[in-house]
Amino acid sequence: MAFSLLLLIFIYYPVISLYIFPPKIDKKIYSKSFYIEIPKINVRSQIISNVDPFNETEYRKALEKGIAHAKNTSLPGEKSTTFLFAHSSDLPWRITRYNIAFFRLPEIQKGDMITVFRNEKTYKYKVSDKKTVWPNEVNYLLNTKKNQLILQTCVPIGTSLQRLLVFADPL
Amino acid sequence: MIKKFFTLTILFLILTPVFSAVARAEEVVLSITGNGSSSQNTVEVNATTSTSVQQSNNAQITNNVNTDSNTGNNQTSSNTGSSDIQTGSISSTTNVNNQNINTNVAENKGCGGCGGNITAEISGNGANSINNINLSSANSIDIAQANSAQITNNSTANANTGGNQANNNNGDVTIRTGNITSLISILNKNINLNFDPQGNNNSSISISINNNGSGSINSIVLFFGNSLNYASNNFADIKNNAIQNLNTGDNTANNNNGAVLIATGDIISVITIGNENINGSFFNPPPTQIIPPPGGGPGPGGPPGPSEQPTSAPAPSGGGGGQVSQAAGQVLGAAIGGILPVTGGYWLLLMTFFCLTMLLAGGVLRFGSDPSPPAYATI
Repeated sequence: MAFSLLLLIFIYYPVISLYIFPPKIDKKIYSKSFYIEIPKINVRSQIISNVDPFNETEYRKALEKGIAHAKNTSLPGEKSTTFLFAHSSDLPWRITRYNIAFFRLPEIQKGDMITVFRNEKTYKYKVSDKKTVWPNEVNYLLNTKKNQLILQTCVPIGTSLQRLLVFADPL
Repeated sequence: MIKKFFTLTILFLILTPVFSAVARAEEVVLSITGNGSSSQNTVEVNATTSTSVQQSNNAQITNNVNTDSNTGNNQTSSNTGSSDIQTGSISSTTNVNNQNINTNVAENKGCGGCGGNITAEISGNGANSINNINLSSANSIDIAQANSAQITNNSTANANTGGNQANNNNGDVTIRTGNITSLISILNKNINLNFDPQGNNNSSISISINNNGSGSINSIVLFFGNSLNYASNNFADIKNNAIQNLNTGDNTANNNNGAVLIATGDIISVITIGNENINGSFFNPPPTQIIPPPGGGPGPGGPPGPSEQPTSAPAPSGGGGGQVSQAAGQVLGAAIGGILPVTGGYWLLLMTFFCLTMLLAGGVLRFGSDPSPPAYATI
């Protein structure tokens, strides 16, 4: 019993610590040329650009370093859809070690602010919508006409059953 | 001499019809020529031929081909701004072929293997000669061939490319479907078939006793007894039903406020049902050499043969209220293969379940078990 309780604490400590002891801002992030900031959920993370969203091996590697920018979608400032995705959950010991930037993404609400920094330029977005879709609904990834930012992660947290999409319009 | 002449005349009168019939059919020539003094000459020909061929065919064929094509039901309501629906691209081909159906061919030439050209001659003859030629040929051929085929082919192919609705859009809705290719081809080839073309025997028998001499006794005896009974029964009940209802998506995008893309398309479904020769029974010659005549075989007593009954209905293609879009299927090709990136795992959930199970098991073991020792332990 004690072992089980210890194991449970071991599993959930990183998750709880995200709320109780929010991670301090890593000053190195400011030296990166491409990163995102979501104050509501305390996210500041590097963005890895041009990651193939249909190549799991490739994007898994990229997600260890930060948030991935989907290849063939536009970069901020290019007047069409920017698609970013990141982990919401992983193995417990990886939760703190690797980036699970979008663990708290379901908390985002309409009107929340998102800021993307790229090449010393700031792009501000306002959350306009939130949708939970099935994994095969790739049309959100393929249709890149609209000038918007889409953030994606897996929900419910701890599974990869569905995808949460957060839509944000540029300001 | 008078007796001899009398005997020959009587025999000639009696046997001429039979003899001549045989001669016409098989070219049989028997002759005792010359004769001599005090010779007795006898020619006997017994030919019995009985041929009975019964051929019957019965075929009931029902082919129903339905093909409906439609390119989408197509709606874009309440839009202020761009909304595209592109469907189109249906191509459906249906071929139903029932070819020769029932075929009976029974050629009854010859006598099933007996001699064709027979010539027996005792010529010259001489004094004291007794000359006899006896030919007896009895042929009996019974051939009964019966076919019955009931064939029912129903093929239905309904296409449609998408239900297509994009309601309440306020800009940016694109639904592309299209691309249905459905082919149904049902072929039942020769079906029943009976062949019996025997009678290609070209045998020739020629026996001759020449010049004869005084006191010679000459005799030629030929006997053929042939009987062929051949019965063949075929029955084939063939039902081929091929149904294709094809649709590429029901496609609804309700309450959209910009940027919805639904691109389905790309259904290719091919159904091909064969069934070639079906029944058969070939007697002679081997089946590889027999090509069933179109329109049936001219067997004796046989009914008029089968006729080819192709039933084909090429389906309409295209149409509808949409545009032909080749790119729609290509978008799907990319879309079908992939899913949105996997950014979660089940490890957290599994480990939680594992821990809770262990915790409960520990609790049961710790608190649920009976603390007192068993009864036998206290004795």
